[in-house]
Amino acid sequence: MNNLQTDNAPSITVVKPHFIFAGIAFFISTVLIVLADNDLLGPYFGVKIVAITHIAVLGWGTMIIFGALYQLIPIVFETALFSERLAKINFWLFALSISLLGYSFWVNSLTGLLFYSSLLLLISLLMFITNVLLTHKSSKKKNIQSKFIITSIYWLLVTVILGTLIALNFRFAFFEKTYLHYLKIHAHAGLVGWFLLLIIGVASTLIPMFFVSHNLNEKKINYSYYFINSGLLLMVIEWLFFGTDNLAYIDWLLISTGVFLFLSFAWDSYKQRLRKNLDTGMKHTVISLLLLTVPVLISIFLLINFNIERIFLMRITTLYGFSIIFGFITSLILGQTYKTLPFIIWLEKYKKHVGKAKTPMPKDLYSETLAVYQMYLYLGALAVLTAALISNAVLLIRTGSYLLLATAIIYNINLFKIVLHKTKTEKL
Amino acid sequence: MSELDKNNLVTLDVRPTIQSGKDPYNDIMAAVKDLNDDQTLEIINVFEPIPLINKLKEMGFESEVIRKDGAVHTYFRKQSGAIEEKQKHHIYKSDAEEFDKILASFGDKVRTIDVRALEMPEPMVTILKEIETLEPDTVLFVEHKRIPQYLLPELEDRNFKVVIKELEENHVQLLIFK
Repeated sequence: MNNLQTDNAPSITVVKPHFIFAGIAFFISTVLIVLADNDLLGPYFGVKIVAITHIAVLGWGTMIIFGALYQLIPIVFETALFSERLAKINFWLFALSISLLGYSFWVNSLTGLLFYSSLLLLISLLMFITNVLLTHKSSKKKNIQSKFIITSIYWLLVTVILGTLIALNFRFAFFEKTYLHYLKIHAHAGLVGWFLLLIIGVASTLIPMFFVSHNLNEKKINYSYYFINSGLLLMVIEWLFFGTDNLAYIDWLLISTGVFLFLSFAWDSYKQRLRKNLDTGMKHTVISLLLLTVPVLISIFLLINFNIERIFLMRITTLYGFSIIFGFITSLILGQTYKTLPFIIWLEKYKKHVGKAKTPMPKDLYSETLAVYQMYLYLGALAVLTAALISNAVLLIRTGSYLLLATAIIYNINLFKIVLHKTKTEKL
Repeated sequence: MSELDKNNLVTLDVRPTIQSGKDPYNDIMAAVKDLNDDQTLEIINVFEPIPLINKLKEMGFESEVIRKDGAVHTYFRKQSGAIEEKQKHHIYKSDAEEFDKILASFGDKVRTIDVRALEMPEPMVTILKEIETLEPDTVLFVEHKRIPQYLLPELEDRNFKVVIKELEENHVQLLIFK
């Protein structure tokens, strides 16, 4: 006999605040995009772009991933989270440090406040990393998904250490090369190592679950893991310890192969799906996967660089980051929120009533019409902002920024509709 | 609150921990975990730990509170008899042989459902609807893609027994019965 722990699911008080904070952070990042105006057409390392980037990747992307991961841990690891209390303290510290970090970039306090906020951020991320690693230690389940998740967490550690060093360097100036060199490593460890690997790990569980498709070839995911990690590792080691980028094309080839193996897995799942009609949540997910090809193409363009003028290449570099953060990652979250959060809230409110009374379903917790508007506004914003960065047009930057702001407002209306949902049941 | 047997005491004084500003919760839960059924746990504290008493009550412990010399002594002991039976774990993974034996013991009183083609949360909704109309001598045989982590606590609360057989990645079978 092999008794099963049945209380693996996390408390809703751990998960819910992450979703709320992330929604608000997305809204704030779009307000800042409106305020940054033609600074968005300036150098990609300008403080306003860096402020928006950090609020988006930490406050929006990472925050919601933390919440979703806490919810998903019982499914992937088949064990409960090591400490819910640590997760709660972690949430507040993380929220505080993101706010301070974003503010210090925005007001250009690179030698003052940034120093303290980056140390605070380091502490809060170390807490998260410890919590997940200790959870994984007590898990008997070792599958490819947990391998992705755990590796991505080590890359998060690399990212935050490099980020902290860059912040310290503004104050103590100890780097041998320009900080932009380290910024490049920091950004790739974060975007590829943390986000991409984590998303592949989580998505390879969730995508077949939501498409309802069976018997997929997990080998592709397995190979994808080794391709992406070897490419990234090679890149980081060469940049960090040798300061050269002779292997850049090989790095690109390895990582791109890994990306396409993952996309091919997702495509198999899409083709074999039993669920033929896609709701907005899944349409957003499909869009996100298609958008993942954009940074792959932009990065090879930047690598070849065609001797184009530097100022143009800088805007394309901004577009590169934008296509990952506001393209791939944002589209995925905009869709997956509708697939996960309503279920989490529904589970909390209705699991006692299911089978005994008539209850709403998770999809009844939000407005599908608003979700549709959200998707079209988002696609409009994406197209206009991409055109703006390529053509250097201030008018397009403004139009696109307001479209993105409208997307965030509609997303937040639905988000709060879900989290503020009041239980209603009828007799069977 | 009844008077508890205090012959075999395990004592934990949490006052120094509280004095130093820390929360003694983890220490207490560790002591509870190590406690044998014939032992009584004594917690010495400066106030009556109501949340702890409630929490341990859920876990099947009786309690008693005695105030002396300005301190509060709270005693916990595992309840015996009928209630312990209810606390026992009825959800477990089994091997094929045991699983088939249990299934066979129900004869033809088997209701079968396959929830593998359903989108979340339909599998959970379907199973919970089925068990509400399940006759006491019938077993619900479920084909599922994975161990339903969010469903198990609800089945436990509704006093069902669950036996799980893992066949392969993405295929498990469940037996759910009273």
